[in-house]
Amino acid sequence: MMSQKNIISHPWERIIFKSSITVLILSGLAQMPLFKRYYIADFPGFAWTADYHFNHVLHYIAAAVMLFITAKWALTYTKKRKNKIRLSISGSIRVSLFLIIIISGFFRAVKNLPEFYFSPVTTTAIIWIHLAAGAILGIIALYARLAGKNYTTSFKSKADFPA
Amino acid sequence: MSSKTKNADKLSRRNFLSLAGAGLAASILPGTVEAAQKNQELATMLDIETCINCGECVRACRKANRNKFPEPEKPFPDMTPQQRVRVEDWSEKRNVTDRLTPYNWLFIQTSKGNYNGLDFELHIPRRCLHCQNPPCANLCPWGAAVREVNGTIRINDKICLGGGKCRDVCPWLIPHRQTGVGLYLDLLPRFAGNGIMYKCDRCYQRLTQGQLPACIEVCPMQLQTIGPRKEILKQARELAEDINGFIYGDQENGGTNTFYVSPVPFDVLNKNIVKGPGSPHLEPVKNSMANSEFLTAALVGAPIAGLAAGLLSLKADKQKRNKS
Ligand code: SF4
Ligand code: SF4
Ligand code: SF4
Repeated sequence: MMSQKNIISHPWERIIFKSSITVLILSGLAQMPLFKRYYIADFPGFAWTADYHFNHVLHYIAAAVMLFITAKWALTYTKKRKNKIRLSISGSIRVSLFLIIIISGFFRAVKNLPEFYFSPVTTTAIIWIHLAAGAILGIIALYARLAGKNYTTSFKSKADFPA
Repeated sequence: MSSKTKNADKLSRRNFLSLAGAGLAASILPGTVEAAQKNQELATMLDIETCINCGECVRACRKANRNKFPEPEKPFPDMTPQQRVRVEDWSEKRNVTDRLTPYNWLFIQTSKGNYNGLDFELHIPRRCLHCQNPPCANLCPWGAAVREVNGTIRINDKICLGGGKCRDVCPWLIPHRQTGVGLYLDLLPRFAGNGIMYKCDRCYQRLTQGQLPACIEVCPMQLQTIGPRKEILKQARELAEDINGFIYGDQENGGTNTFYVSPVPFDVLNKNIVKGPGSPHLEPVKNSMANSEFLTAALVGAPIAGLAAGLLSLKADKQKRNKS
């Protein structure tokens, strides 16, 4: 039973989470004017990668899905900490970077509303933080996956938290 | 409109302007400075019926912004893949003034035709409209295109990589590229970037110094009025009513900070202008960022729903535990 095994995430949640992250990475990269330049948008079925407005909307939707799951997991984790699940060092680094991406991403969305105003320097800083944190997390996550680092301590099973 | 009636109309308008001129300049200029200092959103109104196509504004813009124009390094670095990334070089065509280029941020578009059985010839100063919800700035992936507090939309030439997304998402394709300048040269010039994108920056330095943008200051017809958006919009509506005319820019793309007022409808003007690269249309434009508010609401709602779902599932777990 789940409650006895202290599992934070359900398998279906992990599938949705991973899919939303994949879409976030793709639609995030598609914000750069590179997919058309490098013929990726020419592949059948990939024309959307060069549609900026479409990818903009897609990024928001995938972010909303990811935030739903993240918030649910965060709450469960806070509760289960009492039951001795701890984030590993590698897990803490990844979660911190992930939080930076979420917060800077949120500010990016707010900046796009005409009612809110951020100075040009703040705007550029928010965007660079979002990009840099994304790139660093990408590298660290890849390393963690290859080196078999878990998110949490106290459980060896990878199923406790998604990689 | 026969040319006689049109001229008579023009004259009466001009009289109105010259009578009001002194007061107008006195009221608008300090108002603008004050608004700029108070960080209010500024807008401009262009009474296009009064434009005599003298080109003073175009020359003034070029002179005032000369020090910002690109000085590209040549030969340009090779870019990959060559067939896809075109070199855009305007440095040998700096004298072009009949369209937008990196060296010409304002040009006069002429619309000549017949409306309601009367001939007309109107001249329209064209440049960036400074959208209220600017896709060029909102979608710039690199943080180079930004919105200033007074509503000026500016591309930072220190940061811009020249990928040109701002032009692709601009409903009027306003920004223009010069290859061979900018930050991309110091990064991976072969693989990413292609120069700097240029467009009207509403003479932002002049504004902060309390001066009017060069094109506004120099116009002998005082065709443009700049000031706090609300007031300028009110004036544009009054003028439109006064001449039984039409406004372009107040609603376009969800609202811009440029209001063209014309006695001839804009769809008629649009049919009679040369459209193409560097020469934007005058069509109605839907707000390309209209869904931003709804999508941001989803970003706020989703984690709240996630927390609620978490609570519910914890509660369910507890109940299960209690039962067993
Ligand atoms: S007119 Fe085009 S370049 Fe100017 S602010 Fe609007 S979207 Fe940006
Ligand atoms: S506001 Fe300044 S930069 Fe813009 S068109 Fe006028 S003179 Fe040129
Ligand atoms: S200076 Fe004034 S009248 Fe002359 S072309 Fe420019 S807007 Fe028209």
